[in-house]
Amino acid sequence: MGWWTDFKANREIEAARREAARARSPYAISVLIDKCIEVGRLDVALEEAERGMAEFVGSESLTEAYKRMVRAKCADDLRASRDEVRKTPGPKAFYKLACLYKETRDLDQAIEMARKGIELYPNFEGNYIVLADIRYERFQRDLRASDGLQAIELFERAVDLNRENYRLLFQLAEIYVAVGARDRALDKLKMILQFAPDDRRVLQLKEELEQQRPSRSNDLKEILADFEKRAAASGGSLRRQGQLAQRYTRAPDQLARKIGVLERIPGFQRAVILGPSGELLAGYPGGPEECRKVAETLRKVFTASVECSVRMDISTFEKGMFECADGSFLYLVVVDRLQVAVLCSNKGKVDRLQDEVFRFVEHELYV
Amino acid sequence: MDHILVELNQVAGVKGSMVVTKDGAVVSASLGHDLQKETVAAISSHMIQVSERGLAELGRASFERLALQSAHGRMVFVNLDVGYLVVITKMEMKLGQVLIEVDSAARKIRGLNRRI
Repeated sequence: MGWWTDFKANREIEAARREAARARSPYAISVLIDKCIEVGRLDVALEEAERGMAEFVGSESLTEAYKRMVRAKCADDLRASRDEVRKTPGPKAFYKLACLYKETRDLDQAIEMARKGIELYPNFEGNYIVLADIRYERFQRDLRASDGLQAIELFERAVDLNRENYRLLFQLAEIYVAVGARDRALDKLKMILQFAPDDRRVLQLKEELEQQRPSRSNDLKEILADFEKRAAASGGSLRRQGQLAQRYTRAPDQLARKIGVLERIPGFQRAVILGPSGELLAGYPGGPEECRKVAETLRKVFTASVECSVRMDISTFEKGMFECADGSFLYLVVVDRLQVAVLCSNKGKVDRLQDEVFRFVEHELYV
Repeated sequence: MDHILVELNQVAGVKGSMVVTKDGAVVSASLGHDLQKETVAAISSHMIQVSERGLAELGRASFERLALQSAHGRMVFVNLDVGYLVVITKMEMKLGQVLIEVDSAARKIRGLNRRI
C-alpha cells in the first residue's frame, strides 16, 4: 500500500470509528468492521470485531461481520487450499482445507472435507481432530452427552493414530477433567509423561487430580449422562450466560420499557420475552399478569423448538417462524438465552417482522 | 411420493425429507445416512403437536409453514392437510432458497394426493 492509499484508508476508518462511537451498538460496530474490510485493513477489522464481540455477546450482526472478516482474511488461503485438494490431494491437504472452513465458520463444508479426508486417508489423525473439535464446540454450547461422547470418541481415534501428539492428549485430558472423568484424564496425562516426563503443566494437573477422589464410574456414557443431568439441574448456570441475559434477568423493568418499541411492526399484537429458565421477564401490551398465560404457552413452544433442534443434531435453536393458516404469524428468536416471541396478525409481512425484531435486538436490547 | 422427496434431497444442502402424520406415522421418507427415520418422525411429531396446541391456545389457526433455524442447520415443516412435509437442511443453504424448493415439493405432493 502506498502512503496515499494508507492515509485515505486510515481517514475512512477514523470516520467510521467516530460514527460507531457516537451511538455504540452491535450494528454500528459491524458497519465499522465492513469499512475496515473494504479498505483492506483486516488487522483493524479483527481488533474491532473481537472487542465488539466481547462487549455484545451473541450479537447476530457482529457474528456475521466477523465471519465476513475471516472470509476476507482467508480468501487467498482458501483458494490455494482448494487448488491443492484438486491437483495434489493428500491427507494434509484435506486437513488444511477443513481447518480453513472451520475458521470461516463454514462448518458443513469443514465436516464434509474432514469426512472425505478420513474416507481416503483413514490413518491420518488430523481430520478426526477437526470433526472432534466441531463436535466438542457443540457439546460446550448445548451440554448434551451424545455430543460429548462423539467428540471424545473422535479424539480417542486420533490418539490411537498418534500417541505422541501433546496438544491432542492434553486437550483430551482437560475434557475428561471438565466432565468429571478423573481416571481417564490421568491416563492421558501419563501418556504425555512417557514422552515429555518433565512437562510442568502436565505434572501440576496430574498432582491436582491425584488429590481428588477417584471417578465413581469409568463408563464414559454414564459419566457424560451424569454430566448432562447436572447441567440440566443447575438451571443453566453451567451454561455460559451472556451479559444480555444476566442484565435483563436482574433488571426486567429495563426490558419492559423497551419492549413497546415492537409496536411499530405492522399487524403487531403481542410481544413476550422470557428469561433463560423460561420465566416471564416482560410482556406488551399489558402487564406481567396479563401476559402470564401467553408466556406459559410460549414457554412450551420454545422448549419444544430447542429440544427439536438439539435432537435433530442441528444444535442450538435460534429462530422460528410460524406462518398460520389465518395469515397470522408467530416469530420466536433466542438472543443470548433470552427468548423473544412476537405475535402478529395477518396484516403483517414476514420480512418486515424479521427486520424489525432484528433491529429491536441489535439497537434496543444490546444498547 | 418417494421420487419427489428424492428429487428434493438432490438440492445442495438438503440433508433429508419426510412426510409424516401428526401422530408420527411415516408416510414416505428419504433421509441421509446421518438421520434415522424413527427419530426424525418422533421428534417432528412432537414439534408439530406442541406447536398446534400452542397456536390454538394463542387463538390462532394451525400453521401452514414452520421454519426453524438453529446454529448448524434448518428444519422446515409444511402442512399438507393429510400430513406434514418435514425437511432438514444444512446452514449453507439460504432460507429463501430452502423455502422455494420445499414449497415446490409440497405443491407436487398435494397434487399427487388430489389425483389419488
